[in-house]
Amino acid sequence: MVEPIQIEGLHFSYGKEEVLRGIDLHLKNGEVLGVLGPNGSGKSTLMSVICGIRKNWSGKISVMGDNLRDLSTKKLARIVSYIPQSFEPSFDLKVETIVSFGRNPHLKGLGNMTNEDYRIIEESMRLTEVYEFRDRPFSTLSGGEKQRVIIAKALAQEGKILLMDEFTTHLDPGHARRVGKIATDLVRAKGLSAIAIFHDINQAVEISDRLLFINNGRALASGKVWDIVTPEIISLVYGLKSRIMENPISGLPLVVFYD
Amino acid sequence: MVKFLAKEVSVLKRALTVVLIVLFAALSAAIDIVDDLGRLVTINEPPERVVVASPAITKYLEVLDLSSRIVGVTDWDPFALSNEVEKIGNLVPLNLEKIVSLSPDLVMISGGFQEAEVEKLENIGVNTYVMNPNSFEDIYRNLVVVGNIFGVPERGKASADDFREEVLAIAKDSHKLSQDEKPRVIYIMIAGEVSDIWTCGTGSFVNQAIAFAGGANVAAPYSGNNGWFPVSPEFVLNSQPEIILVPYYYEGGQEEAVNMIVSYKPFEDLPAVKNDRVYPLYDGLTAYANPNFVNLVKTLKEFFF
Amino acid sequence: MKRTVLFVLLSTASILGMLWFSSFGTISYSLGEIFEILIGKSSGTASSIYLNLRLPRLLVAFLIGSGLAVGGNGLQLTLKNPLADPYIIGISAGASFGAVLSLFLREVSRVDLNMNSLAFAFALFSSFLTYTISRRGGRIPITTLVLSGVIVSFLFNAAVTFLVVFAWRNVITLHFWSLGSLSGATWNDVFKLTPVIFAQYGIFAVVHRKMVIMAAGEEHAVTVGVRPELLKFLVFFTVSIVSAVAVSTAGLIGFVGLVIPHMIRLAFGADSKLNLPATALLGGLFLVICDTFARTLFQPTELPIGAVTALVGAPVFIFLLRSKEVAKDG
Repeated sequence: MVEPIQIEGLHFSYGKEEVLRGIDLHLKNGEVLGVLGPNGSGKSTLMSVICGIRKNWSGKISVMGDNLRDLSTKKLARIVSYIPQSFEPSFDLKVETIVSFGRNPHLKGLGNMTNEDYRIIEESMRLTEVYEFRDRPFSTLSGGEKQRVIIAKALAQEGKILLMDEFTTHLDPGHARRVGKIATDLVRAKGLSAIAIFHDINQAVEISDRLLFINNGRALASGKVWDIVTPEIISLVYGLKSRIMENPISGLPLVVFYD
Repeated sequence: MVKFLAKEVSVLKRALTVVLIVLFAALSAAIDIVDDLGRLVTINEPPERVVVASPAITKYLEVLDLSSRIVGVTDWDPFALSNEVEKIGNLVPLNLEKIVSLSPDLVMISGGFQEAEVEKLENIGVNTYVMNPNSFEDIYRNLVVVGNIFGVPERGKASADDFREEVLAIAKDSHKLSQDEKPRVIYIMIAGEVSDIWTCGTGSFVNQAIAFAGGANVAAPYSGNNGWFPVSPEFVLNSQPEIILVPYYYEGGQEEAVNMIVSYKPFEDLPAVKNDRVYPLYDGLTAYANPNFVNLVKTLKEFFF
Repeated sequence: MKRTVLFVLLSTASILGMLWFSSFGTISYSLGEIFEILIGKSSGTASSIYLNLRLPRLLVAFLIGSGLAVGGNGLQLTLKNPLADPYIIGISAGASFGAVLSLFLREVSRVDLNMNSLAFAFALFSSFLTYTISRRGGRIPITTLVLSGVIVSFLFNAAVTFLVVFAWRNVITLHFWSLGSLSGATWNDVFKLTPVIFAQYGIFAVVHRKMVIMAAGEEHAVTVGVRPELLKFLVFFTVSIVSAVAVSTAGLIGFVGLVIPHMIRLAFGADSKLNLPATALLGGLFLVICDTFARTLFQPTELPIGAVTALVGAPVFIFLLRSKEVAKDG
């Protein structure tokens, strides 16, 4: 089975400033890879390179076995679905319209939607429990509801790879858990592979199969959760002292920071 | 003296040529005239209904007793104040519907900013003649032309000759004066603030009028579009005019116009202001180059001497 | 359903309304007379005036209004900027400069270049300038584009002022040019405008979905398979041509491209399929109404239409905006 994403020696600069300084990343089939790192470490940039937003990178990136450079914008969009950190349309669009954007890479000819497209849109909305809001303007929804709509859009895109950029960061714990659960359930159910950027290491631990730590544009460590969440690595990445405990409820590592 | 005579002769030649062409054309009933925009206009028969789309032109028809043929004038035409006539609106943009509804045989329009309207009139097939008089010579030439357009060439020629004689008679007096005897004159038109001054120099018929009336226009060495150009108050101060002409636009506005100049502090030491020789001039006389030119010259002469 | 009804009403209102508005003017016609003229049963001066002056003017007004509104809509969506308008990208200033330049050349050096063609050339040039200035490494950040448009406009307007100082006599022509006038519209203008307006509509109909996606964010658009640079260039170029033709024909008419798309969005919502045709219709109808006022308010003097579009459009827009806001809060 071909690795969904393979990155080797990725370099990227914003003008003169080098942000990614040789990143390696391997996304295994069917897994959720959590990406962690302090602010400015290059996490979001990494994501925007993979989904085709930023193009002046150097190195090797292959998506589903194909060189990223060889994939057209549309073709890439059929493989990779992106869930951004924030989504703010300038105009008042309905929930259903936004979900329908996800079908764009699949539209043929003059771009008219078929019944099949509508069916997929409806199913995506149901799966993320936003079907009842479909006619409401996006701006009137709560943070959690909005994120679910974005997930629905990504689902409608039917991409085999899901890229999630801090998608629970702005949510309160209740919504964060709910949205996180919906996302991971869908990934498992549909056999997708996902890269998810997290701000909170404990959230990352709950959801991810493997973790990748990034700092200063370099990948510092990657591996399974229990292998990699250690005080030494945390200190290296965040510059903070920590104690790792076992989460009494989930049995997963629980990180407690101290000065 | 010799120069002046030579000028007279060449100008006479011009008038003669026009008359000859026209006489020749008259033999063929229809006339082709080249208008002031260089367009060849065909007049099949003397127009009975004419729309005058520029107040500059109306006086020519009045002087030649052709007022009865005017079926429409612009809102800005003084002709409409004392005559029953249809008004066609602004000079720009022309209300084409109104003009067409008056079924004119000819539309007379001036050039300059009305130039763009000419194309519109051509597009709807209305016979148009562009008249753009800017100088003393243009005025009597146009009297002849208008006379010919309307089938009264003798009237036109006679009127032109009378006009020329009247003006030259006044001008002859000024020629006897030496340069020092001529008062230094400046025409000051204020466009907004008193410091926004427009004056006329070479190329403007007002400048010619000043010369004919025996004045020495301090702005004569300079020129601009149609002879008009902006100057700064310094220019006025430098030229130390003995007479200042200022336009007024409505009856009773004379005092206000003179006041504007007289009360402007930088001007208080000018000879014209000190000697109370700031004269208001009715704008109607200086706005258009038409047969009123005679009155303009007469008025100026009275001011000067 | 409600929207479709609204749309049908709008279409019917447009057609009937325009015929009704065309009956007003220096010469009044009754609807019956208009009908007879149109089916060829009438003749004479009145009929000739209607067929050769009134009717082409009506069509030109409709076409220009429609084209400007559709163009404004396309720009607002694609540039994700509710303030975008064909004129903000620098076209009006460029066209204005071209016009004054032609007058200037004629006065000063006896070079006779057609005013309309020169306006057209400079309209395209100025929009090309805006585009190139704001392009950075293959991308055009949206705020930069709008800013560049504003700067290019300043530049050309300054150049216009500079030229005008040397061509005083023709300021009045410039005055009506810069406020717009449909006087003198002919069938020729109708034939010139029709293919351009229809082409723009056709192109926008095909890419409408993509434009709405752009309205949700340029970066996001890439992730769903839209190429923003290509789309921006297409929209930009199309709108430039339409606006340039409109400006060459009737001078500068503002407000239509900015306001009409907003009005349609307020009435139909931002994502209705009917938005594009409704914008085209309302834009055309709006300009016909404004031109009728321009022609009749101070008969026989004509008002510049740019002043009317602002005076008519602004209060209507404020009213719609406030009622929508009240509805949202309440």
